Amino acid sequence: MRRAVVLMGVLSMAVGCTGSTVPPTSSPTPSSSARSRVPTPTPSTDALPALTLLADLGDEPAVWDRVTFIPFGNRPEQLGYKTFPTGPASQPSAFAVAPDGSFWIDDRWKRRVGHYSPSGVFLGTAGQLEHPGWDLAIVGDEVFVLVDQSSGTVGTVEGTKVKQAEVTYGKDPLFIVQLIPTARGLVAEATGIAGTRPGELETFVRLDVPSSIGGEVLSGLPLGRGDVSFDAARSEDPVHPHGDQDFDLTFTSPEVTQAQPIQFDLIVHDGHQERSIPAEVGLLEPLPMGDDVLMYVRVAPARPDDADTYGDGRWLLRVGRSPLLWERLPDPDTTDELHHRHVAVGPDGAIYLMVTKKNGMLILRRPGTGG
Amino acid sequence: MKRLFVLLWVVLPVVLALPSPPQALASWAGDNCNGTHYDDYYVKRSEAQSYASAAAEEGYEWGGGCWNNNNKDDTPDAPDSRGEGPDCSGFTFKAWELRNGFGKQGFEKWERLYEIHGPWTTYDFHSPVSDDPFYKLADKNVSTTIYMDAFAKDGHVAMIYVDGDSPFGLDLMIEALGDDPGTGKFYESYRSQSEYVGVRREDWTDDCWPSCQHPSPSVVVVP
Repeated sequence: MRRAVVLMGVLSMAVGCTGSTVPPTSSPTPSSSARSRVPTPTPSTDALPALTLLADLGDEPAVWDRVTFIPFGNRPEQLGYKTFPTGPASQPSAFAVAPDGSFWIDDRWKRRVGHYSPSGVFLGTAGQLEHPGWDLAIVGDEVFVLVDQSSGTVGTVEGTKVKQAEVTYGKDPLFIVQLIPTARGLVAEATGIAGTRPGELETFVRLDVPSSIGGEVLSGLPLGRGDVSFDAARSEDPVHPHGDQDFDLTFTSPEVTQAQPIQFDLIVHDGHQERSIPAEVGLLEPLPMGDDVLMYVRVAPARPDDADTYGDGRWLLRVGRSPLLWERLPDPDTTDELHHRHVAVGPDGAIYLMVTKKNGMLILRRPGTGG
Repeated sequence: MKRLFVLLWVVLPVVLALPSPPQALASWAGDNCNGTHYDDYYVKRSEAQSYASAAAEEGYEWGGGCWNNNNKDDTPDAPDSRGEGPDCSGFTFKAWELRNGFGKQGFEKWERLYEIHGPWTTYDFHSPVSDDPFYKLADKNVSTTIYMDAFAKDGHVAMIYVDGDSPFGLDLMIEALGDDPGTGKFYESYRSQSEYVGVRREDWTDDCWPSCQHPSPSVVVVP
């Protein structure tokens, strides 16, 4: 935690400027010959100094404010939960916070979305979903549900119903990994479409649900007012050759691209000795928050013996125009592989977290307005 | 001993659930699982991938291992009924063409409609022993794993469907995920979860076979 504070100021300076927020120039029309002669500016690239974040498994999770706890059970206001003899346990998979501060929870085992007041009072449900849901996003007042990844089935909550449509791109179903609310509307992190880099599996596609036609392929995840885009890639020149823990984050505006190398050191403790070990880092669930992007970061040892000995951890990363935020998050009480959306942004700019507990889902809020 | 116990844990419920012959006809597996199996050679990852892909959308059955290819779960909402689909370890067993017995090497083709789970549990995939035809990888780096390798924990096993750079921490896996999600391709963050280890089936034939471009024999110049 101490180290994170030190690093905050550094990254604040380093990535505090993500380029102008001037809206991009509109495309020239055929009749505007004067405009069409204006050369398209090529954004320059600023390479920023590399940053190192310490994922110290000896750190305690940050203390967040408890908002509410919603138990598992069969009653309508309770959430579905299922365990299996083999296979991951099945808990609610995602949540989102509406402009009025109420919560929507993707209650996958009951094939519905549940709605709760800011204090956790049950307000109702919408469903039934054709499949157990995967993700949730709220754009404006509309609540969207990723009902099925591979068929690109996206639902829109309409009263107590969820209107479902299978989104296509070209002639094929759009394989949607997750739904992301942005200033440019609902965006899907999707696969099966060539990304902006060779070998890239996923890219961002704007959706116009309930239209079932996939929209524009974006150059990255829109931030701010939508004129800055964010993307990430594994470093081509990693500092840690034995792990996947070095990345290049890019923030692109019409004028400038800023490349921010970021490295993660996994720190473990053997008695009084601490050391860095090779790690696998997952920059999960990217979520715009103003000019910043939030990510739910999982860090685990790369080597199996280390994994058995030390376990893993989860952190919250906020990077962009605001000061860097890097803090450890609480672990769930049980495995939560099928929990796909842990972090949400509230209407007041606060950051919310949903954690799987033994008997229900705990909603926490990070202290302080604006996170 | 633990392996025996776990084997009993998986197989016994299936055996106990086996109805008497007349009732067997009433189960989906009893009615549909008429496939066969045979020795196989020169098995490629790409073949395993294709085989596994055909199981997508075909349901999940704990202890099961039989499915058709009609892109729907023929026994929805009927868990533990000898319904359609594999469970996660049975799916890996069939996709990897493992032989039906501990310590047996080589490949055996199990047709989709041949009902078999195989003896290995998720615990075995997570903690291979020396005579298993698969082994634990030294690490889970993107540069180490190859498609159709698996990520396994004590409780689940899933195969990597494609190689590729996934900057946001997810891998496209193919797996028998559970009664409700069924079997299919799902993006998962198993790579960055400490419970999961990387596991590789031994003795795949290169995908390029039989047209692999072998390097020319080096020319030795004798002075």
